[in-house]
Amino acid sequence: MNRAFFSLVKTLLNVQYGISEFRERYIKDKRRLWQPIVLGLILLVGFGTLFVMYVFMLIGVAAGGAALGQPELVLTMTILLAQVIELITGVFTIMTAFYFAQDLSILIPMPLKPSQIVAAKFIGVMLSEYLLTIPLMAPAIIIYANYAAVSAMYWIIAVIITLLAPILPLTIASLIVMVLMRLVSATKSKEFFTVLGAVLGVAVSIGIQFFSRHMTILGRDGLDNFAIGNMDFVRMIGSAFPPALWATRAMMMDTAAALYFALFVGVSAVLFAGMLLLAQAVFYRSVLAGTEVSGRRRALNQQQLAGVLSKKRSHTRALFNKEWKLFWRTPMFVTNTIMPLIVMPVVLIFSMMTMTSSPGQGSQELAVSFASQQGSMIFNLIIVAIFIAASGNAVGYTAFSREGHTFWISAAAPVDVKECINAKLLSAWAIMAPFVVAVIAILSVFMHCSLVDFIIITLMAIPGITLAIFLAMLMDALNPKFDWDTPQMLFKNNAASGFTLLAILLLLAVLVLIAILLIASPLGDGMVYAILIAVMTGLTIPGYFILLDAARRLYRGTRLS
Amino acid sequence: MIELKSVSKAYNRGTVKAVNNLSLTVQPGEIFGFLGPNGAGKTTTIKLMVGLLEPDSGSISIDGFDMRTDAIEAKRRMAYVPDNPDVYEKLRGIEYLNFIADVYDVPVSQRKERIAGLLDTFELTDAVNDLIQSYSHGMRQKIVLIGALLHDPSVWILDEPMVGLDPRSSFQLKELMRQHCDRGHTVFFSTHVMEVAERLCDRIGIINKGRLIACGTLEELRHGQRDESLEQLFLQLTEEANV
Repeated sequence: MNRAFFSLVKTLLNVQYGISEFRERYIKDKRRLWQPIVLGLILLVGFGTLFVMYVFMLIGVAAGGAALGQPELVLTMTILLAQVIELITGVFTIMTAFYFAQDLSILIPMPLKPSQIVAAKFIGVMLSEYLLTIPLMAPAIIIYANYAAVSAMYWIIAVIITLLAPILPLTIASLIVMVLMRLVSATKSKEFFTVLGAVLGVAVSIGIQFFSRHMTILGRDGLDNFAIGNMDFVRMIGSAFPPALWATRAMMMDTAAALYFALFVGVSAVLFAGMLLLAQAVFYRSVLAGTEVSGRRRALNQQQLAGVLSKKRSHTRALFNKEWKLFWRTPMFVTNTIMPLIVMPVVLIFSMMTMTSSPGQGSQELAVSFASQQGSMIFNLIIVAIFIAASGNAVGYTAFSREGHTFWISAAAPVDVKECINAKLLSAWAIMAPFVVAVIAILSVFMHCSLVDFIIITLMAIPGITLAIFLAMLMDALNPKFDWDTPQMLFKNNAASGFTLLAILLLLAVLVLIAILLIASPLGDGMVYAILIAVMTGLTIPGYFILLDAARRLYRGTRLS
Repeated sequence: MIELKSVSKAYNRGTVKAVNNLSLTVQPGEIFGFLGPNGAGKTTTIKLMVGLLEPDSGSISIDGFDMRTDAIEAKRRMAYVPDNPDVYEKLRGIEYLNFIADVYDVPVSQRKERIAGLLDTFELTDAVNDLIQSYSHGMRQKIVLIGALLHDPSVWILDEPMVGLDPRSSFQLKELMRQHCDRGHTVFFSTHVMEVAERLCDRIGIINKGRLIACGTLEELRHGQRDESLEQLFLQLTEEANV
């Protein structure tokens, strides 16, 4: 460890967290300071709610564990949870940080060892993981202290274990990634791995869905087992990932605590050293393979050229085609937008299949409960609300920013901004449409909904989704982010995403309020639907013009300087 | 023709004047070279001319069409090549050119001939069916140039267009610029290469700290001192302006 290494770490952290940029943008120019504050508050409220729920859940787990004579259960569970999440997410964060970072072309020519670059990047990833590790583990450590007579040493060991917790999963993730990248030609793997990551993300989401359902059932039987026998739940959970068990034992402060602490620290250190050795041997070779890009260099003959150029398209059509191709050819755009849309119907299917212990029965029960007129209306409104919520996605809030440094082409083109907006709206709708069709198809299979309900849902969804897309696009037009070199940078710290979430929540709140007032009124169902459709359609008209105005200012360059 | 009247653009709440009261006319049939030290305001001026930035004051017109009121007509008449060849990496070269032909309304009957001709001129025919992400910097510069020229606009606005081009392509571009002006059209380009400006331009403008400090033919800039090179003149003028 020398001065160069510390300087490297400092610089990478500065770049990763945008410290200098933050100072320049928000501290020197205080007018913009409200942006990170508002974003921070949104995140605080959003995650704060989740955190409170999580703490209450841990209190329940600790109480259950204590009743069974195993208060340390809460520690094992949280350490396991933190480390498993770090392992899964780590594979992709490490892959991005080690292999797909833009700064590698700057770092490799420098007189630095591969292991130094890897170690510096590893530290950056590890610090990010603390954002997850600390909120997950700290409450459990405090809750456990209430059940066991802990000494000052407990707190010291707990802090050390919390700080060391991400090392092991991230080291394992690094080893997996380095071996994978060495085996597969990085030239072709870049986009493949991004898509693979997304597919795994879907698999994990579905897995969690199944796991949580399974645990609910298991939990009932498990508690019965506890009542009659003496099942070692800590050992059972810990066996899934032994380091979680070692960390728990280290914090229990019994006679073997020192040994388990040494085991936890030792294994982490040995694996970390092994990872650095592997990096020294293979890192540069894998990265350099990834920088080789070549074209096919197959020229088009006159006939082929004539074929390609034989059709003139309207501006909107040409812009739409461009949007469409760029979207589908950039895996990060696809994964960040499409995967949540795919997960939602899949989760919907599993939720319906596993709503009760007998598969399939749940959906029938739900279908019966929604069969009454009022039930049917609420069900339809919920589905439309889901559509609206899902439409505030990255297709909208990156509609302009996706163009990045190439935005000059659109801004310099002799095309009315209205045509650009229409093309972007069409492209967003084209991406959303299969999702809407899929959800409606699922509902028709599982919920046996009537044709009338589907027509109503569709009629409400069209203005609702359009409105949500307008809002998302407006947020992007007001907070564009053109200065990105990799699609990852576009999605990282994207202010428009937070503002879109807020705007969609506000829209839903207003619509829900109107719906409640209408349902409570003596109006018939048909009139309620008609008014809601009219309200949403009515809102799309000023929505379009507000968006157009913001976009015109954007294209005129007032936000490009 | 390009006409700038008292154009100003400031950043940071008016504290940094990137372009300060700039007035300039580039006549048809003229190649105009725009010179200036780094950060002098060349690219900002060009971005104002093509509509990528909006001036705080003043007006800009291209072939008589005002950029504020008739932006689309003005844009239709110009070719713009930025200082950095940022293009859609995920499109194939031919897809990009076809897209540009669509948005610039190039008739089908003309686009094949023009695209094929320009591809041939810049030796990009073999790569046009590849994704742009596989192109070198120079090849990207060429595809941007081809895209800019394929609708045969009357006004060319080029920001350091020779950067990244190989000698042959650079020569071809200079030839095209000359031919374009000989047909009575207009070329406005920025450069740091004094020799190019000296040999190619009918008139030269030098900008420093947002102000046009000199403008005219090479002879006019020399003020009768025949043996002074453009480089010497440039250094002298920018130093004087800094004092």
